[in-house]
Amino acid sequence: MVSIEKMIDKLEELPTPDFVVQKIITVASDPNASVKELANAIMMDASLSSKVLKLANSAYYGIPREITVLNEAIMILGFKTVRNLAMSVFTYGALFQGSQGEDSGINREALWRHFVYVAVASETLGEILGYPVKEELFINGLLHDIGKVALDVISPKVMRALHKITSEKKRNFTEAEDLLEVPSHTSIGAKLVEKWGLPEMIVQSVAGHHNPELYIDSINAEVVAMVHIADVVINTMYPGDSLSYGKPELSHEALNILSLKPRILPRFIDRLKDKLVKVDDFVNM
Amino acid sequence: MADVTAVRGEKIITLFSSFIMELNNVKSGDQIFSALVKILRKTVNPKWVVILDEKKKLLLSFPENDDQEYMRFSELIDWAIQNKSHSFYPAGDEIVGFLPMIRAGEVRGIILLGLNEEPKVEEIDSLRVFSFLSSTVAENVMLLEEVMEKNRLVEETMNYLHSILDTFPEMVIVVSQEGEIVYMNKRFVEEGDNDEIREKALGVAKEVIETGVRRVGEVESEGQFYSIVAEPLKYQSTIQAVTTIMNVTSTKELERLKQLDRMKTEFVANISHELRTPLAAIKAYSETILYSLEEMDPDTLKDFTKTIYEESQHLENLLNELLDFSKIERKALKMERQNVNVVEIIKSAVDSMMEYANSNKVQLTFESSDEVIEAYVDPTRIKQVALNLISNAIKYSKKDIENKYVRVKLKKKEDTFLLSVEDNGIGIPEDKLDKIFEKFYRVDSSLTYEVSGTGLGLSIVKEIVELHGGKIWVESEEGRGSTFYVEIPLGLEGNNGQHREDD
Ligand SMILES: [Fe+2]
Ligand SMILES: [Fe+2]
Repeated sequence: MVSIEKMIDKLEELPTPDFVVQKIITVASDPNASVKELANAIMMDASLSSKVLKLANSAYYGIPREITVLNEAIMILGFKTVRNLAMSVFTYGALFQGSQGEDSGINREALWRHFVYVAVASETLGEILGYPVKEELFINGLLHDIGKVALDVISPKVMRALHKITSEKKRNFTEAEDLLEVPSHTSIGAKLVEKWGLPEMIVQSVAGHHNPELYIDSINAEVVAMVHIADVVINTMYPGDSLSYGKPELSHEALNILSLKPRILPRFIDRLKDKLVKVDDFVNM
Repeated sequence: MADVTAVRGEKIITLFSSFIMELNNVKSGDQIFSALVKILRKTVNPKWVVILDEKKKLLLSFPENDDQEYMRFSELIDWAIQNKSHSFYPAGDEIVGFLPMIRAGEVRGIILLGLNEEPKVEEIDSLRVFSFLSSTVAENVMLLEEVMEKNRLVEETMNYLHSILDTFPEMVIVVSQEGEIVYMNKRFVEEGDNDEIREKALGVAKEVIETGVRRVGEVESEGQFYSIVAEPLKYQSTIQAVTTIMNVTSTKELERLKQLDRMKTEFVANISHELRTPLAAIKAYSETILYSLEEMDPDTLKDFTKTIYEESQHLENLLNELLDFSKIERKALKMERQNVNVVEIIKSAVDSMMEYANSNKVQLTFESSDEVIEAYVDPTRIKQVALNLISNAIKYSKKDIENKYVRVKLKKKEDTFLLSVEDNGIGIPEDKLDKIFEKFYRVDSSLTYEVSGTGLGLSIVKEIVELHGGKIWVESEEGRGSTFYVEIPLGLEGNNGQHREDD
């Protein structure tokens, strides 16, 4: 129906993180960067600055004192969290920009909620399993289904067809992709984040979040596995948000990679529920 | 730019290396935190560092003070712990860092530090890793301390139990299923570790291990008596035997004295009877003679007087035995030693017993290796020994068999002479062999009811033999007969054959 090459060509049509976001990503991962540099980068976009500050003061972080300047936000929440906030603002914008032509008719609010929830679930799982840089998990979770955004923009017809199958036949999104023999959202998404110049970790979690066993030998195996589990848990709790209606498939390999004991799952779900009630500022951006 | 990064990278590696070196040497939680403070000072050179546990209890403060200044950040501390987030907060002219120490998803404490300037990304990352490493090592060290404490407790309890077991007056050992002694208390080490006791105790223990039930035993070693009690003990799916060995010598001695007392009572009753029998006969016969002398024919009269004579002789023997015994008891028995020919003495004893032997249909024989065996002994006492042994041999002959015999043999050896008296009489049970030389002892009343005597004979014989520096023993088989042996030193050297009075 549609070849991957054609799709990739059309990726050009997608919004690319603008100079500001690029700069933020670069600064946040530069070991020599200072608070001032990152603050300056964000301040170049006034709208972005105010949205970042709003998120920094959101219930999700629950900082006991109000943050009024970016410098404080960066120091208190850390470089990577602030980068995550900027990425969230950008991704939200990309999703709701939509295509110029016809509309796929999908529920973008629900899909965005899925992004935020998987980001929070990944971070929470990282926290529980003692992963030292839990902020990285947030951005990996946030971007895992970015391929769906790409599809929606590049080929609304395909997206509409996929959505029809998944919603009417209660199938998983990946099953619909196989049925229609279209390029998968994982491969398109991976190409996209690679093109954006995001780190390999994000490329792999986007590419492997339905098949974590593919990256078992990667240094990012744990991150990919955690994003996978977060995605499965959120899809189980909120079926349909991600345009996937079938029974989510949990990879046993992911459990093995993390040496995950089933008994920690209830603790994970409890903590996750506590957090999900505090993410309204992200969901309704 | 690249060079600067490389230099920084190297600096970080150096810092990590020295931190890990420090961590290698820590043995307590406090030391970890000191190592942490050291590394923090090298990394970001904070003005101050405070380490709290997850309940905000102060663990360490650098520089040392207890003004609790840090409590003004109480809500931020709570927030950092709650969110497990590493953050920095500008407060006046300093930047305060909050670094929760997270281990397996749980906050185990928090590091607070006051910085002069905003930290760089790299520094934040390093601090984050330091706090992670510290909490991991701290937890391991605490676990180790816990284990050590448990070990110490176990050891203390062991020592306590050991010292209790060591105060026991009994010896206690534990024997494993393989028959090895796996525990012995102090008493056993000091007193019981000799082959006889060990062997017997292990034997009893082995029975317990084989049968799974309590077993008891006894052992005599170096004149001491021990009772052994072994109980089964289930240990790690094997059976061991807790074996207690108790010295019961004093209990035994008491028992012996009690028995002696009982025997003395029996003896008095017995001897009264023994004395009364000949006396009654003498009285009856002499009474008959006195009142019926006129009607008696000379033969009857002779018979009667003979009986009276024999009975009075018997009475005299009994009285002599009693007298000897009381001398032994008072240690007043004296040997009148002189140079004599032992062959003659024994021969005269055999001769004088010949009639008694004939009347019991016992063939009494005597042979000697030499015609003359000269020895320095008390002739009366040696004859008494021979008489006693021969009369016993005849006395304890079987009642109704043919070819009853008593063989008396004398043999000269290098420095001694050996007298043996062999019979084919009733014999002595094996378990009674070592008791027959005891005072008042008679093997068994059921065997001896037909036989009269004081029961003192053999104990007097033994005393006489021992006063001559000799020894007496017996070989016997129940139902087949006995052989008594007496071996006495010739006692000639040093006296030149001259008569000498002993005292
Ligand atoms: Fe997906
Ligand atoms: Fe998803």
